[in-house]
This record gives sequence, structure tokens and C-alpha cells, in this order.
Amino acid sequence: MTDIEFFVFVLLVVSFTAGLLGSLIGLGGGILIVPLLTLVFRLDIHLAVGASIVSIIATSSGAAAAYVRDHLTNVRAGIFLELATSTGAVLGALLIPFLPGRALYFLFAAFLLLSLLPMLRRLGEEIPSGVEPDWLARRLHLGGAYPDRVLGRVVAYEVTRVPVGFAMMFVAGMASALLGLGAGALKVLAMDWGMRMPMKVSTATSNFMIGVTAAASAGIYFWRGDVVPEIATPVMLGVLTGSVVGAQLLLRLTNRRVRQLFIPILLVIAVQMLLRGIGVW
Amino acid sequence: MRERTAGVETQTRPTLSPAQERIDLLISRVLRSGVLLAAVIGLIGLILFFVREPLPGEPQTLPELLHLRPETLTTSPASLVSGALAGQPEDVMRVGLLILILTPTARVALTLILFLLERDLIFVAIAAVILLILLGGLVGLVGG
Repeated sequence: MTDIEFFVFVLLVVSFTAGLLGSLIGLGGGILIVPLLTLVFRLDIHLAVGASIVSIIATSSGAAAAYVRDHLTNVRAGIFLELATSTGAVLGALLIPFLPGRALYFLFAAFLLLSLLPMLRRLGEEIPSGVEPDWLARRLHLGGAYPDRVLGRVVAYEVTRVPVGFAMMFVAGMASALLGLGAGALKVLAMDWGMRMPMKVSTATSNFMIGVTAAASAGIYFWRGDVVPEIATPVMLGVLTGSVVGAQLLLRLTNRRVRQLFIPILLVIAVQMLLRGIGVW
Repeated sequence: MRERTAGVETQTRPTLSPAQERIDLLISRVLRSGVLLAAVIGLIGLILFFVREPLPGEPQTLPELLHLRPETLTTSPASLVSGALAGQPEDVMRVGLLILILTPTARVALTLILFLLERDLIFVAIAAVILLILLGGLVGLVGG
């Protein structure tokens, strides 16, 4: 086995672990892949983003398939908001060659810290009440209904403050392209806090949108040569299998406990990315 | 199904319209099979990678791979197809990755058709714009 083959094998194993941990934290594997490739293997951050963004399509599409089958996804709202995330992503993909690696490290650290905030305190409500739909939500029929297994009934809901959600989604799209993440935390925030959608619907719809958002920049990175097959393929396969196993494990673990366990680890990663941005480490 | 005030509908069993059931199932299947196909092709490419020698022009050693600069390993549709048909590991892996990128694109195309059948013109337009954005990147029109 040559050194490059051994590296690909190691990448497969660590990506599996990242996918497993990512699905347990609920932030997805992407948030761990870029720090892993840059901090541990010292890969150029632009190429790490290229490999990570492809793996995100795999994991989010798998989860999205399950959520859509269970009718939790608001397909109309998702597609409307994909207008914002995909334009944001294309803009990010066009900007990234002009951004030095150090700027990306800074942005990554900042984004990681922001993603941790909703984990400490739940911002949205499980099922918001008294939501008055705004003009856009009425015009586009964005309201919906989903079967709630816990409550054992179909819950109807309305959507409001669509422009707020749309603007947040544009930022989420740009962050996704620049940092190689799904930006799921920001997407959920845009829907459950911004547009006051039910928590379960926000999570499901966020997963639905992540694939399209990631594909918008991944298509550009692919022809640009920033999706290196020897790196992106083991990462994609590892993260995908890891997240499948993680989802199975999650059924037997209490979510909240697990999440809080990982907050210190993510804090350490954020600090290290910050130090790389300054050029110290 | 749609009401002004949210969360007040009372039903004993979760039910949705049969059309909605079918659409959701179709989207779910497209996503699942796209990821599965990409993973299988990626795995074949990876196995070939362990069996075969790296192509000239691809990174030959580990330091070469890790010190790769952005925008150097560019590829073209022609070399991708010929390489994949010849069973070159890197190009087989690229095909797998491309199928993965195409999966959400196929889902957008599918929803476009569904909105067309429903004669929901606003959403036909929205889905068409997203499809154009995705295809613009995929055919190298944007940012290549």
C-alpha cells in the first residue's frame, strides 16, 4: 500500500467517525470535515470546502428523503426559499477564489460559534400559536399541515415574516458555499424563529433545502477542480455511512445530553480555526 | 386543510391527501436512489483506486496531494467521459460525485414537472429559476 492509498483509507475511517458524531450532535458531518482536513491534514481550505460540500449533499439528501416520506417537509416553502439559498451559494462560489484562506478560517470560527448558540437555548417554539400569515405567505400558499406522531394528529400551521426568512436564507446559502457546510442551524433559525414555523417542519425543510444549496456551489467547484476525487470520495462515503449509523444510535440516546457533551469539543475546534486565521497555529 | 389559526385542527389519525402522499413518495425515491447510485459508483472508483496506478496528471504521492493548490485539478466533460469509460479510478470517482451533485438538481426538475401538472404557474417559474441557477454552475457557465 502506497502512502497515498493509506491516506485515503485513513480518510474513510475518520470521515465515518465525523459523520457519526455529526449526526449525534445534530449539526451534520460538514462542520467537522473542514476542520479535520485543514487542521489535521493541512489541506488548503478551498479544497477542504470542495470535498465537504459534496459530502453534505449525500447526508442531507438521505435525511431529506426520510422526512419527505413522513410528510414533515413544507415543499412549497422550501422551494421558494431555495431561490435565496441558491443565489447566495452562487455568489459565495464566485467570491471564494478572491478570499484568502485566513479570512475563511475566521468566518468558519465565527459561524461555528453562532451555530452553538441555539444548542444552549431553544429559540423557536415547538408549535407556534396565533400566527397571522403575511401577504407573501398568503399569495404563495406557504402554510401547511404535517402529521405529528407524538400528538397523534395532523397539525395545520401558518407562515409569516417571509422577507425576514428569505434574507436569512440568502446568508445561509453564502455561508454554505464559502465554508462547505449545510448551514442547517441558520436555516432552521430562519424558519422557526424568523417565519414562525413548527420546529419539526423547520428541521425537515432545512434538510430538504441543504442539498439544493450545496449543489449550487458544488457544480461550480467541480469543474473548477476544487472537488478532488481522491479526497472527496472517501469523505463522502465515510460521512454517509457514519451518519446512517449515527441516526440508528440516536434512537437509543437522549438527544439533549449528547448535544451538550459535544459543545466543549466544538469550542476547541472554533478556537483552533480562529488561531489559524490569525496565523498562530 | 389550511386554516388561519395554526395548531387547532383535531383529528384522531394523521391523514393527508392521496396526491400529496404520492408526490412526497416520488421525491423521496429520487433523492434516495441518486445518493445510492453515487455511493456505489464512488465505491467502485475507490476500489479501482486501490487496484490501479494513479493517472499521469493526478497527484502521485501524498505530499503532492496534500499540497495541491485550488483550481489546478480542473477537468472537462470530454476527458471525464473517456477516462471513466477506460476505468480510470479518478474519473470513475468524479462520475460518482457528479451524480451526487445532479441528485438535488433532478429533484428540482421533478418538482417543476409536478407544479406544471398542478398548473401552479408562480411555482413553475420559481422552480425554473432554481433549475437554471443549478444548471448554470453544472455546465460551467458560471464561475468556471
